[in-house]
Order: sequence, then structure tokens, then C-alpha cells
Amino acid sequence: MKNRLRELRAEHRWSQADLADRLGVSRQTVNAIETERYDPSLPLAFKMAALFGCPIERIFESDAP
Amino acid sequence: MTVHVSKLFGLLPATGKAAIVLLVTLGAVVHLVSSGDADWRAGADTFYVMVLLFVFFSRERDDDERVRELKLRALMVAFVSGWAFASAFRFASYLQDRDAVPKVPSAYDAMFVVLVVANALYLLWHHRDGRDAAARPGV
Repeated sequence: MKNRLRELRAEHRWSQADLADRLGVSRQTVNAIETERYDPSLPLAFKMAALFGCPIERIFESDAP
Repeated sequence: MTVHVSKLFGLLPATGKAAIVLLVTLGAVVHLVSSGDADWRAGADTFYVMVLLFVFFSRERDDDERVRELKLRALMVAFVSGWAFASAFRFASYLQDRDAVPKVPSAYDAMFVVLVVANALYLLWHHRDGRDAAARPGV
């Protein structure tokens, strides 16, 4: 699944470690999501949406046609 | 007791866990080579398997959903490896003596292989995540 996490993180001037602290996950997990190697669970995706103050669809984009 | 040992392993960094897995694997191989017999069903193999079990199932310092996903995936691949090891062992035994009933590895032997593969894969994948994160620091 494609995502705009890196872009949104840059807008807020947060490092991966800052975002990881705010989400309660490890920096490695944030990196795995940004590099699209890992799709987060729904609760974590909602947490990201709440943190960035935008709907989930603005962060994640489905690969499905 | 089990919970305390598990918590103790959970305090270890990834490098400490990797060192333990390496030492236990080497110990088991030396044990196997020195005894000259693949049938090493003594107290030692229980020890090897228990240590590997504790290392794999102990909580991580940064225990989150990615860690659990990697562990589950490592375990799935490891189970297939264990099955392949058991099949190869049985087939090799059959080739050695086609008239005899083929030997099968003990459950401890199979568990040992499964846990070594599971630990190795998990540590490798977790390290890869960390390495990539370190390569892209900050914003």
C-alpha cells in the first residue's frame, strides 16, 4: 500500500524517532511503513490520522485498481 | 520462574540475543560432532531448545505490532524448514539402508532446527529494519 507518511512527517518537521515516540512504536516500524515494506494495523493507521489531523485516505492509498 | 527468565531475556539488546543464539547453535553442533551420533537425546538438547524458546518468545525492548508480525512470519518459514529437515533426515536414513525402517529425528531435533531458523530470520529482518532506519536519519 502506498503512503504519504514521509511527506507528512517532513511537513511537521519530525524525525522518524519523534513520530515513533508519538505513535508508541519503534523507529524501525516507522521506517518499515515509510518504505512500504509493512502495512500498519487499522488502530495504528487511525492513530496516525489523528496525529496528523487528516483522514486515513490522505495518508494511505490502496494499490488495488 | 518462566516469566522471570522470559523478562530477563527481554532486557537483552538484539546483539545479546544474536550472541546467545549463535553460542547455543555452536554448542549444539560441537555436541553433535563430538558425540558422533545424530541421536543426542540427553539433557543438553532440552537446554538448547529451552534457551532458544526463551530468546524467541521473550518480549522485545521495542515490542510493537511490527515485531510481532516479523516473529510470526519467521515462525511460519521456520516450520516449513523444520518439516523439510525432518523429511530430508528420513530420506537420508532410507538411502543408507533401504531394508530397515527409516529413522526420524526426535521432536527436540526438529524443534531445535525450527527455533534456530526462526531466531535467525527474526534477528536478520529486525536488523534490516534498523539498518534502513539508520541509513535515513531524521526528516
